[in-house]
Amino acid sequence: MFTDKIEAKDFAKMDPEYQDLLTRVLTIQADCEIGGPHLYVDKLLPGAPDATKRLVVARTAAEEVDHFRKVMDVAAGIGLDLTDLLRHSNQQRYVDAFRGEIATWEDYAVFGFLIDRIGRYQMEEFEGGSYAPLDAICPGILSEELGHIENGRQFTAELANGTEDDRRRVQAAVDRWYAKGLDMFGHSGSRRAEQYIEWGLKHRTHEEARAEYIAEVNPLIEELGLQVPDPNANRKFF
Amino acid sequence: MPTKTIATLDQELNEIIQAVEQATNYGMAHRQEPQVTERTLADCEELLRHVMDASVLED
Repeated sequence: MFTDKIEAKDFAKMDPEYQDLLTRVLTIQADCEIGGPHLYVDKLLPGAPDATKRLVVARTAAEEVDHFRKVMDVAAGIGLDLTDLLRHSNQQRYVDAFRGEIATWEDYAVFGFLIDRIGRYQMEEFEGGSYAPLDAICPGILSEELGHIENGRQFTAELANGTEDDRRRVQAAVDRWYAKGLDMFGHSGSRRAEQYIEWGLKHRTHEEARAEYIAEVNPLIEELGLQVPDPNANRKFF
Repeated sequence: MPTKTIATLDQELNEIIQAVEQATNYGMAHRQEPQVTERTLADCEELLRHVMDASVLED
């Protein structure tokens, strides 16, 4: 496995496969960072249940925009201009989970609880990785993602402890986002995932990361008194 | 549509982010005052709108 630390000045000298993989992963990461706020700002910044929660939505959106900015800057270091991602519609997003719209509080809550957690998994892949400028931005982003995840868990818990209608709605949101979340890890047995590992850009295969996520999140769902969805239901990738 | 340099965009995004973060801190500190909170949230919406509609890219 490749263990060197690569700086931006070294990029042009790298194997074309490394260049392609780094370009791809930075593009997808930036797209996901800016894709999050595009899912929920329109409806939930004005429509969250109370002013405090609206402030949380605004703060979370600003932090995700900051993550986009940081990845954009890393990409600029290798001559990759990702600014046009700001113009993309939700339907143009790389990852299916970012192609819709979040219009309800329960979906916002569960998105933080389940999907921001996958954002954490993704950033963990880059920690200690071969591309030093990407490794360098991980701690700050991870720290804020942990806050988003905990906010999501607390909001999900509030709904799970609410009225019967609250519980029904939040369970339905868990059912929706759990399947999308498991798909976000990608195809098991992916050749590209192996290439990322060989080049030191990631640490885990898709199936390893997905299994770790399931082992982490299933008990958390159960702790909230909610049912863990069928892991095979409504899936697109395995 | 003309596109800014990445350095300029970085600076303007950073200013928006800092402004929203300061506004949310202020809003949280005054969350018992509905008029203050509403004004703060309106500021946040306006700031974030520049990113959401990509007008931050325009000169």
